[in-house]
Amino acid sequence: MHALRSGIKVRWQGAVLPLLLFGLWWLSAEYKWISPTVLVSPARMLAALGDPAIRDTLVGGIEASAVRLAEGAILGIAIGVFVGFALALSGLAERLFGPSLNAVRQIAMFAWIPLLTAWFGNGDLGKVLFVAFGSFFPVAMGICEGVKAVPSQLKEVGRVYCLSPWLQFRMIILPAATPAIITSLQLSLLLSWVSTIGAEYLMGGMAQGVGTFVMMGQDQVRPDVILLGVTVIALSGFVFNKLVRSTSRYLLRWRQI
Amino acid sequence: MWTANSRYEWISPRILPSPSDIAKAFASMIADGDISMNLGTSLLRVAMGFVVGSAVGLGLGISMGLSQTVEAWFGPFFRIITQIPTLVWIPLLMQLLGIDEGLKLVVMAKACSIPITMTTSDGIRNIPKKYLEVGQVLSLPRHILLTKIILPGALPSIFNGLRQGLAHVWISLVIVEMMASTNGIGYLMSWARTLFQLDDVIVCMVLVGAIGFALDFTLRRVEARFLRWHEGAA
Repeated sequence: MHALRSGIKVRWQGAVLPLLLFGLWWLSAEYKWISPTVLVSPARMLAALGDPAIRDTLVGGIEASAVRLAEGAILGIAIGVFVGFALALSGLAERLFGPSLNAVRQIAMFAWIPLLTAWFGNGDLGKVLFVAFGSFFPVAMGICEGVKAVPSQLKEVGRVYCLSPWLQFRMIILPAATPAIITSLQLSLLLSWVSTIGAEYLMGGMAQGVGTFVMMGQDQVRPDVILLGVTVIALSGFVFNKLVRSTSRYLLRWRQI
Repeated sequence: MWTANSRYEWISPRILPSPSDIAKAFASMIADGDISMNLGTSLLRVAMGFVVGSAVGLGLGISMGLSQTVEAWFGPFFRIITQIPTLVWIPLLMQLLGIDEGLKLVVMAKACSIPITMTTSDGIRNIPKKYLEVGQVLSLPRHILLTKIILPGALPSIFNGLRQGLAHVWISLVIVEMMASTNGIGYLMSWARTLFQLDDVIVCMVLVGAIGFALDFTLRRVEARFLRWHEGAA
């Protein structure tokens, strides 16, 4: 009973600050404390949805971004899974590629954008490759570390029973590394979302996308479009984040913490 | 492979400059002051962003860790904000703040303060109860409790947050400079891209990586210095 009551109390207090900011936003736009070319009220922002051209661009943009995210993430994760296992299981692969991968990883992901646009253009190809690039590293590194961290006692059991390398992998290494694999997939999906938006912000180009929608608003000095786009992005990010986290918690529910 | 490729020009050197071209570009960029000027600007910004961001982060983190009330009022909103990456806010902030130093400072401070706030408040809340009880038994005054027990206990996680914060400051600065700036290393990079001088672009990328590494390395040294006692205690 007490816990329930304090739960409600906490929720009430937590809502005050966002509501205050929201009210401030509304008031400052309504009474023009801030110039309307800079900030418009929430109502004006939603009114932009009434314009069919804007609505279509936004909806098309969301679809285009979602496809881009999916393509990039699938590509990046597929390569990442392969490279991760290869690095962890083969000493040769590790010696050959480990150092260069580590060097590449030192460079912040977004610093690759100028080079990628120069190589692959600022159309869909460049963006999808950037998303793939962003989602590749967490998977590759996470799987590599997860597989290496499998306790050697477990691996010895496999050898004692003279299991074939495939069975050792399938029955021992894979199950033991599963938590690390799922965590790395989670990280990589979250990163691929950020890089989708980042690619659309930074690469420009004519292709559709939610990020491009915001950039369009910036070019045309349409604060309602910018606000709408950022709101949609923020909401989608919030939902995506929750979805990915709860899926990975569901997948890991068997593990005792 | 890269060197061989550029010798035989399988890929046009306009697309993939050879290592020696890049070394030459690096030398000429140092010579004409492109690097020192823009890098200086960027590093100055990083310093400011880190100072402001870590001050905000530490303040918020300590007060949220210590006080239930602060946590109740600010905690939920803070956690919603953290779910959305800094990058997303940049166009909105550009709208409100223009593209001057104010924008960069706010973006960096925001990127920096979030991990610091989280690790600091977690670190304080996870201090073992028995340490706090020792303080209460000795009936230490509040400020001594804070400086002798709570802060040292939370120091490892505070440092963890500072390192993440500094990394975020650097990355977010490069992004802001690429999106909205007229100087700094990120601007230099996207300008070189516009001119299709890929050798300059690659020089900038290497610099971005090297500086990120150097910043983290420095902070790790500081951490090792401060936490020497910790190894023995733990």
